[in-house]
Amino acid sequence: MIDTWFVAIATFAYLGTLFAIARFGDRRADTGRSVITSTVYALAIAVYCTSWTFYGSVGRATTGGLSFLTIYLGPTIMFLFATVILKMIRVSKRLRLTSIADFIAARYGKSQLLAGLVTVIAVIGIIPYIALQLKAIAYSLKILFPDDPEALIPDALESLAFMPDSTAIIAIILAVFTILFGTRHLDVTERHEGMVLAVAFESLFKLAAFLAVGGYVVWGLYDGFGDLFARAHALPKIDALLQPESINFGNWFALTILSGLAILLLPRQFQITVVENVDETHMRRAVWLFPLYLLLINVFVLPIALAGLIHFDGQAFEADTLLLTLPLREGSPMLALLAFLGGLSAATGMVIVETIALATMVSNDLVMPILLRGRFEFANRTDLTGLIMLIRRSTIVFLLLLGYLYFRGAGEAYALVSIGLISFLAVAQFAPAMLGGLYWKDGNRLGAFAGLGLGFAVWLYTALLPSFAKSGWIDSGFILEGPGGITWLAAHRLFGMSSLDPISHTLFWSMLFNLGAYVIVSAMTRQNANEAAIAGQFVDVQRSGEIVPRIWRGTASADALIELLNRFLGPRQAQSRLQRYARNIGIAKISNLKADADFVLFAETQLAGTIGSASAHVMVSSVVQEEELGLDEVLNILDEASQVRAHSRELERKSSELEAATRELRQANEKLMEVDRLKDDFMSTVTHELRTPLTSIRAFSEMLHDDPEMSADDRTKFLGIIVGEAERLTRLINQILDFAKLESGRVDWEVERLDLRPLLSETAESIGQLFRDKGTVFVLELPEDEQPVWVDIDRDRLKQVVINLLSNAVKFVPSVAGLIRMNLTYETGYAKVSVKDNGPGIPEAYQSVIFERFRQGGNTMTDKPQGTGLGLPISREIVEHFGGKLWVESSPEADKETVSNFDAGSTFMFTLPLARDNDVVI
Amino acid sequence: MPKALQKTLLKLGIAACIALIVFNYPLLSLYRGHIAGLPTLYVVLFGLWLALILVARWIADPSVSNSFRRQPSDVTND
Repeated sequence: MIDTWFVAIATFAYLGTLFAIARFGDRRADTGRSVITSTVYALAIAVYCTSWTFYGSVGRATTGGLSFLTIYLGPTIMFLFATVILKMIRVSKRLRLTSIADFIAARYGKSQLLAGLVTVIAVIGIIPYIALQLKAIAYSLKILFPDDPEALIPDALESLAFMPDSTAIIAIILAVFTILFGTRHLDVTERHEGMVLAVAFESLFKLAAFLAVGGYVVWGLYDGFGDLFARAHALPKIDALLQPESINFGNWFALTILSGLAILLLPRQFQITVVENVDETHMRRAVWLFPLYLLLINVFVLPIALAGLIHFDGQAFEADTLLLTLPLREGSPMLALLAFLGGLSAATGMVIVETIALATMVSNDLVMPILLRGRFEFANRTDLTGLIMLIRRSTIVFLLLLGYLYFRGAGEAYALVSIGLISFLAVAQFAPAMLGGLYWKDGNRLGAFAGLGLGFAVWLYTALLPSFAKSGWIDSGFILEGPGGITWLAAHRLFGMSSLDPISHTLFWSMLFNLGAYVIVSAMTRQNANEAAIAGQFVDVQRSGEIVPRIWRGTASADALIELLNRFLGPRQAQSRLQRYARNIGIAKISNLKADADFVLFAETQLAGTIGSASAHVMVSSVVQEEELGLDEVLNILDEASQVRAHSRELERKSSELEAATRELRQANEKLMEVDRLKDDFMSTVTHELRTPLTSIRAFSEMLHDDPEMSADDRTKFLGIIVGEAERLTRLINQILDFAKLESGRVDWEVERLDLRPLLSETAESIGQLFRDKGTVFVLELPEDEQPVWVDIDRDRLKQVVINLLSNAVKFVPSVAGLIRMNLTYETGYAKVSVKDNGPGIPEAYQSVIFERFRQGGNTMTDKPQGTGLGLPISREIVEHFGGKLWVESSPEADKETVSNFDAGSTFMFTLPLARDNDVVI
Repeated sequence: MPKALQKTLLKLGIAACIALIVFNYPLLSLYRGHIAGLPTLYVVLFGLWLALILVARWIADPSVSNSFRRQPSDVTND
């Protein structure tokens, strides 16, 4: 046994540590150095694990096997749907929403009535849950000190008449803590960093305590997991408990869904996850660290439960307190003390956060509206901050007192033991209004009312009342037989549904009525304009940066609004925020602020942080003459906004078009510059080409001119050269003109239908002298069928091409045994003319180059040019103009060994399309 | 909302759907018998759970998986 004074010291030392940590956190926050990191945030979310988890999971595992895990798998899965949580955080931050009641009320047109309903449901559902935590503390003390459950109180004080019991003392300490760290500022959005840090510490502590006991049981009392499970296996029934056959799958699924909803909708979870969120990127860690926490705190639950079953084999034992009784029985009281402190941390963390969350709701959404509506002089006081603070603090005390009284009253009753899941079921009623409101614009106030109301009613009847009945407070007949024997109204068998366990039963029916009413009523009724606008803000919050239309019109006085802020926020707070707001919109002095829609919205949002959005709306409306906007007008405003958006989209499109045009222009410009460069090249080449013959003409003319005594032979020879060069010059100029004409498309084509046979022979004939001069053999091969080969072509141009090819060939055939073969064939649609020579051939590298202007085969720098370099480009232009192709095939490698082999040399080929209506012409 | 964040949220959502499936009937009914002396149900549930957590960490929290590499802020100091 442990000395009582030691436990008392440890307990108060633990609570003292909490105060110190919270104080440290707040101090840091005041100096601007936030202690809330993503890890602290994730740990604080583990406030989910209450004493119900800490002690109760083990108890559940002794009878239900692994089904206790569903309570943790649900939140794990829900956290992976981080998109929902992120959306909740964003909406809350934007609209300064500070509780679930506020959230739901704000979404449905800032309805005070709805806020009140949500608050009532939350209070009725959660107060017993708080009571359960207090009971867990009291009960664990009883286990530690069976003889003296009031051991925390020194005997000397116990005799005092007004001395409360230990649980009350702890409740009082918690109230003090909550008031100190939960109501430091008036504005709830300014968060309670000290409290969050303390809660994170509590999470860490309870995890460590649980792991310590778990490790002790598995490795201290037994020889590891294998040993423990092997021994459990030997006991009857235990093994069956650990097989899937023992699981009620429907219940499993229902609990997964239920706990998944609870992690979003429990007031304390909303408080930590959404309201206390400092930075939404913290979700990145919470998404995995919080599930990891859940996994760790559950890993030893089953082993401890099994150890208990083995230990107390056959005897009656309290399964819920195995965490304490096992170490106590095995002689490790210090470990039991650690477990007690762990349970205490789980309970206190829950009570603190839950109380803050509920107090916000109760004071903002129940007390404040009544005070503001009533004709108390309250509304006329100049500075309300102190009063609001007082209300908030009294609410905290009141809620804790309520929890304590419930605990004293219910005591050992069933109502308390089963409250965990019943609380979950209560908050699950918020799901349709909450999630529907986030994702469905048409969900409206009436729908939310109908859904919440019906769901709550079903919950009251099928979950809460039966728990009262089982406690013996009311007659339990209605649970199974129905009220007054009406069997289809039996609370656990509604409409004869007897196949579901009570939790799944309530979940199914309440959700069916709740969701059904929400959807159907929403679909059948209309939103008013204001609500439609807010619905849009909720659903589209992810599209941040979009223009949110301000749906407001009316007359207001800036002074009245400022006065309002002064009263509710306190002059100092109000002034600093107004200053910030004024600076943001570029106004130097607060007195210059105009009461436009923006300012009214600002004032309302600021107030919402203090007194809740519904009350804030009422207060602002009281000083502002708002004109009721018809739906048409709202639609017009929305339409304007969407037009602005459309304009901006149009602008965007235009600018991208402009960019494309610029890109095209740049490309065109580059092309132009390239053409310009080519033209320069062309010009310089042309001048070069023209200068060569001119230079020689001039040189020889000068020689003739300077030397009158020149011999007649020389004179004749020189004159011959001059004439030759002059001819070449003429030819060159003609070709350049020709080419220029072709390039610019200013050629007059005289197209007629011609037979290629006579044309080719005539052309060959016309330059026969060329062949004869060089002693070249020329062969013309025409198709043997004697059919005319019709093409549509310009006669002179085609002659030009053929002459060009033939004269080229003559140039390159060897002077001895030169051979040129011109061949005409035709295939489907095309006539093909090839000119084959037995010259040196053209290396592959030059085969495409020779078709470029002024490029010739061979090295033009050293060899004497044998042509103008324009012949082939011109020919190609002509052929291509008539839809044909001109190309060369050549294999120069072969000619080295087999000079006389006719396979060597080059073959120039061109094709021309045959005239299509061949027959008609003949 | 930035594209990358949307993608992350989508991946997490997919993981959540997979988790809903593997942690429920009928797959749940497959985890019977024993593995190395421990009940299959116990081993598989915790194993899958841990795997899911690691996957979520990998998807959502790049700061953890990169913590051993140089942070971009280090680079700017060079």
